[in-house]
Amino acid sequence: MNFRDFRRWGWRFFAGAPWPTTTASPSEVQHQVATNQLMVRAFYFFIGFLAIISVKGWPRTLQQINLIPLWPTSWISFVPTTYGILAIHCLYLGSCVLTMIFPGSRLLRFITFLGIFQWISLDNSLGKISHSMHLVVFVAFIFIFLPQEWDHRALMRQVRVRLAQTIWAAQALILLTYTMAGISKIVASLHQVAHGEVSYFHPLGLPWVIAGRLALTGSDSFLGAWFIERPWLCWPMMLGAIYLEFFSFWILFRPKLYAWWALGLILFHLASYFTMTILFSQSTFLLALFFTCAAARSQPFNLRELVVALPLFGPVLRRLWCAKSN
Amino acid sequence: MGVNQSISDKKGLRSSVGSRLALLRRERLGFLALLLLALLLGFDPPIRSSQEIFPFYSWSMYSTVPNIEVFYSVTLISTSDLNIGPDSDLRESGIKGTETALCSHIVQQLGRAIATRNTGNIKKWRHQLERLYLPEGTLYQVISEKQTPMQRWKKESGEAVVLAMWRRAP
Repeated sequence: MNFRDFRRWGWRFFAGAPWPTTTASPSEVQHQVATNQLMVRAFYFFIGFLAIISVKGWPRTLQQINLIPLWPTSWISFVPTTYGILAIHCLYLGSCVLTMIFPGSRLLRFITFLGIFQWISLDNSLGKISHSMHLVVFVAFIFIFLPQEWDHRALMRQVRVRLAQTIWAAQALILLTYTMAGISKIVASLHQVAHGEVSYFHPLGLPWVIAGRLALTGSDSFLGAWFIERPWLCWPMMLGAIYLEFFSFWILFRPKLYAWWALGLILFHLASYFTMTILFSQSTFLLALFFTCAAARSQPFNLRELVVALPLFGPVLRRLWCAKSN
Repeated sequence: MGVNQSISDKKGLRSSVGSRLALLRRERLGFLALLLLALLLGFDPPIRSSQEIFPFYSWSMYSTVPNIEVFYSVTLISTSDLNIGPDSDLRESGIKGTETALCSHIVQQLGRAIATRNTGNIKKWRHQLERLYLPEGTLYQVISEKQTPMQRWKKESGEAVVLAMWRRAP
């Protein structure tokens, strides 16, 4: 099997359809380019906005001397802590605000990545790593490699392809995180089943996770207690969440499902908040931006097409429909 | 001359197209390598516990359902703060920040460090707990309890063991 065959096999595996042979019309290409440019700009507006609202926390963090620095901020041990923290805040705010206005400069995009990376390292240097901003760091890193002149009105073919490739890499990384989380849940559940323990495959799995989290933090959530008392409602929800997470990477090759899958993952994040008080608001923004925006076309809604495109169940339902129509 | 010029133009065009394609391929391979790196460095098999490599995700977050587990907690025996009653649980003491995931993480890490007699980690997490949350002169206990999450959530008592009793270092 040569590389081309392997690529086609990979496409068929993830997309569930043969390698596309049709080419996009000029208007479609133009629409795609404009959408890609919009996604990049909106991303930099978003991180600029995050940097601006972070200034409210400056007085608290500047007094923070109990740091257990993560490796990117380990240099802070060699300077007066307050000055080190102030330098990171200034780098973060200054670079993010400037990149909102000049996203075309690769140097600025690089400095912005450094600023975000340093700021998140600092924010997680109290002993616990929170993961809500990790995807933002990765996307900022990938966007350093945007082609020169990506923001111009008329783009050469090579620039268009490189822009699309960069967006694709950001989308792939976002979806990969969900797929890996899904794989981990399945592997861990199989391990727990083998040891006779309650796992996510058990109706009590999710209620126990919610109870464990609420008990550990001593917090109370809006719907946590309600769900803990209704395990038979939790069970299909949890299996659905694992399905959504596990097959997320497949969706990268199925643009028809982009918006609906993103909506599903956003609902999953909201459910995590209402039951366990864990909120990944930054991730919901990235999902909305990179998937609902990418899918914004004037195609009519077709439920059958969407259902048939679903991983795992789609082919089965397609056959059932075919058998019924014959 | 004209023919040579035309041949060299064509060669130049071909090499320029070739170099552009090579750049595209290199970039594509670079992105694939980044995905692979994120996948490998973030992959932390849930059946073993290890430290995650920042900023790569630990994919195993919330991958296991807690069954019978050892929970660690901190009980405040006496403090200089008159609003806090004796023998109150740190999380219910009303001290700012004690209801956060960070505080519970620090308590669990401290408990684990005491249970495994890891003196370096005991020092690190004790210092962090005292500096971030405990008022001057607080006398407190670190307690371990073996329970299911449901027992813990319903506040049923389990097998409790006092691991340590300390006064906040000045």
